[in-house]
Amino acid sequence: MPMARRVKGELSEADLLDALRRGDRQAFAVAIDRCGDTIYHVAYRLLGNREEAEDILQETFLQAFQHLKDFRGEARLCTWLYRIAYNLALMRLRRKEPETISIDQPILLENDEEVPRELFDWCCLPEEELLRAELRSVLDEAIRSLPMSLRVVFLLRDMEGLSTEEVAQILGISTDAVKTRLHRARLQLRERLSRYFAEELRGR
Amino acid sequence: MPLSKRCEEWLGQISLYLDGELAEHLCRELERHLEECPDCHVVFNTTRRTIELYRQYGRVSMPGEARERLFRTLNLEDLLRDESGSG
Repeated sequence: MPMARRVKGELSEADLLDALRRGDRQAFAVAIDRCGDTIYHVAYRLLGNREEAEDILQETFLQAFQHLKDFRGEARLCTWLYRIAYNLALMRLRRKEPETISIDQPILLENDEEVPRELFDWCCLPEEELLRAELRSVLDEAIRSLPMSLRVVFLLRDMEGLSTEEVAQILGISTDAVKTRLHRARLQLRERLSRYFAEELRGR
Repeated sequence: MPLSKRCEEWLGQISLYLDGELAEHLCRELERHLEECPDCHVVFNTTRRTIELYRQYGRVSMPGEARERLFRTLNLEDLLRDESGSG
């Protein structure tokens, strides 16, 4: 029986899967609304523009809905979709910049930005002060500067709030690697923001 | 002045601490260190604030038009109005 009403979040994972497998069109719409934002966000942060993010969004759902039989329900539906989206984005990046893009690229152990240098204390400044400092573009630029392998972990864990295990499944790496990369990403971003705020706000 | 090796070691634990994954006795030790060491205190607080700012301002959602085009691509356009139970 098709779902009478489609309300985001109301349907359990198991019911949603059943409905998808039956080809219930409402279920497809629920899946889009449940997982679409994160897919778009991941694609946008990896590829850097809205057109390509939308391409990945479309390709992900087209591919996933065509291959629903392959999904064995070992992970959450969204996790499976994020993994498809991530792989599609990665393939596209590799086509664009074959020699620079690799999730497995060795991460330099002695990265200068992972040892805190800038100790300007901006943590407790009022939000208006931070916002005045063109915060959004600063945040965007800092995250863009992260190596891909760190960027994707930070955005899935800290911005999208996924668990360590889920991120490990999506990226196909160990949970220890997720934790290490997350820590490095946080320290690098902190350093970038600190330099920026120190320059902007020190001595005011 | 650069941070001491000891400080660097403590700062290596702050992500686990923030994620609630650091062993209880190490949490207490780290907290004591943060109270005593102003530099580590700053690094800790600004790291936490970095995460908060990204959570608050860094997310990008699928735009309404992109959602609409996706529904059309999948021949679901008749379901577009149902969003968030308003229909």
